[in-house]
Amino acid sequence: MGGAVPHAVKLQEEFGSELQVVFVEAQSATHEQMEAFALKYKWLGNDAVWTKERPFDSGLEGLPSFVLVGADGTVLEKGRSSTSKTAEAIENEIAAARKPPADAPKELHKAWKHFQKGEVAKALSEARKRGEDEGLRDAAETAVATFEAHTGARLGRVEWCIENGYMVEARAQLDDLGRDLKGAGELERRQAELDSRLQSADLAGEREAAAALERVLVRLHADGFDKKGKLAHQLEKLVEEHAGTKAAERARHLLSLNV
Amino acid sequence: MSTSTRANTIRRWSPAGVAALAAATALGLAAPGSSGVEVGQSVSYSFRAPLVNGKGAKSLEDFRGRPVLVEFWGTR
Repeated sequence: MGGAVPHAVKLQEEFGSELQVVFVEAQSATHEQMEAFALKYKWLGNDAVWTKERPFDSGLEGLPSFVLVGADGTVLEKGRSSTSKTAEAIENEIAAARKPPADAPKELHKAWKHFQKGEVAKALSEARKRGEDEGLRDAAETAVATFEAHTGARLGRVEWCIENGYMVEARAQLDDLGRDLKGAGELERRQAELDSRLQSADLAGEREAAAALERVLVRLHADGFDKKGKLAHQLEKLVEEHAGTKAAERARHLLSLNV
Repeated sequence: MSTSTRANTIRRWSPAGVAALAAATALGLAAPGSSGVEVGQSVSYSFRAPLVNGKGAKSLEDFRGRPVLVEFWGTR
């Protein structure tokens, strides 16, 4: 099976970071079998994520099937195979997600627009200013809580990446936040702390190993994996040269998969 | 992005309810009396194991702000 999987991969590549594809392996394969399958078909390197846990019951019989969830967590569409209609629904949802929520007072639209552009500090400042008006206080507090929670979760993911040796991803996520948190108080402090940790001398080995692994993964995504091929040899070399790092452990794990 | 913006939102699930359903579906069982999620329903879920390629994401909520295509597939 797997006929619809390449289409979902294509959608992930087409929409980039504005869409998240979550593959749910639903045929009781082991975790290793799932990874080996992804590796074999070159799908491990793109932005899609993989799991064996079903986040909900789709209510659909047979595989493949899909559920499209909107930017606010609401189910928009479901069916057996994603189609061009699904792509259209995704496109519409991306456009809608760029607008302030329909129930946000128009006085708070500026704050929401800042937030949707990633300008978190400006968004917080604007929402707090509007919240000084008693009539807007509740809506402003909701907006501030949403902005803080969302950004806090992003920083939490950076922290997870650092702790688990995903230094390239941690760097990319921190760079993505850039200077958008300047003036955002606790969020800015946390960002600076993570940045300093990521650059620390004691993580130099992890950074180097993670960068080496990333170079192999990019090739692996483009060329596929052959256990006797050049990429496997590079992974073996990485395991040896960067022994003791988390990236080397991941490389060893990839080599152990029965592809 | 408020969930209440959807006029057709039917109901929200409690985290305990979602966890119970996840446990049932992980075993290949359908939730009693359920035909699965419906269009307009709000969904949430925290993953127990790290997502492969997840870059630190731990729940569906981590993807809020952009659409999520959940694709159920098999390896066999």
